[in-house]
Amino acid sequence: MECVVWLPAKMLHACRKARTLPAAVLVILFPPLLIPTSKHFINNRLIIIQQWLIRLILKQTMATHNTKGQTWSLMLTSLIIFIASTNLLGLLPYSFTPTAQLSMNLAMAIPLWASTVAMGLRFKAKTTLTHLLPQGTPTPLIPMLIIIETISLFIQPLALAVRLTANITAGHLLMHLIGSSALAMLAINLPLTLITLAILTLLTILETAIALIQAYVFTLLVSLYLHDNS
Amino acid sequence: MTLGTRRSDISHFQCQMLQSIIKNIWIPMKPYYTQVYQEIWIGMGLMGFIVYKIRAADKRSKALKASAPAPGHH
Repeated sequence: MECVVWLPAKMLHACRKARTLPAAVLVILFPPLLIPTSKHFINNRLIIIQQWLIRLILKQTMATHNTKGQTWSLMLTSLIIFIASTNLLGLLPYSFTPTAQLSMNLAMAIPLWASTVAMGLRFKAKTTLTHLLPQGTPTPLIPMLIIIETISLFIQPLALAVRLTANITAGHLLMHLIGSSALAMLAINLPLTLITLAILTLLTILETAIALIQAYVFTLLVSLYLHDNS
Repeated sequence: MTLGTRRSDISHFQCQMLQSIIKNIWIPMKPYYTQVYQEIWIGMGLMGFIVYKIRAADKRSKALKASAPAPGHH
């Protein structure tokens, strides 16, 4: 079943072809609305708390980078805030989580990983290529190890995407199954239902932590790849 | 006709939207889009190429299945 949103005819007067927009586009564009921007020096409490959080994230992620790496501050901060907010919103009942889709995570991981590799090859090609051979490798093992390191390099974007997808999808699936079983057992066995609901509560707390941790891990790994190549 | 429905009104709104986009997005982000994110554009091109290849292969396999349905399906 395709979920679409009908746009007002006036907005699409110039474009006569498509009159629908996938609802997923609106869901992906929704989290930035929760983070208001302000041109004032002194803001309201919500914006002050959010700006404090963003400054904390910025300091933690960008402290170890050189000047070239720090030009990516905007990208990495936006990345972690987007993934964290999307994951947390996905914990609400009946919501859609874009980061549970492999296509979405591959679309984030491949450009970021490829750009770090391209940056490394462009600005320090020799150092990037020497990363394919760990120091102190015995001579007979060199060809095999280069192949292994190349494979591990190409697996990085897949690992980034699949890690996030699997964690979020598995968590949601588990919550869905345990919630359904609790509902089914409500009329049959009340004590077991209460135990299941307690497990569900603990699982929800765990999923909240996983939502934040996975956002941090994704951004940290991209930051690590950037650090190796900048 | 009421205001906002004529062709000239709609193109006026589109111009205003374009001006707003240029002033609020393009001008502050220009150094990023033109210098800092050059490699990211390359990465996005690679991703677009992969998406194109996957969709083309999917279309080809669906066309193949539709043109030659396997006999004896239960």
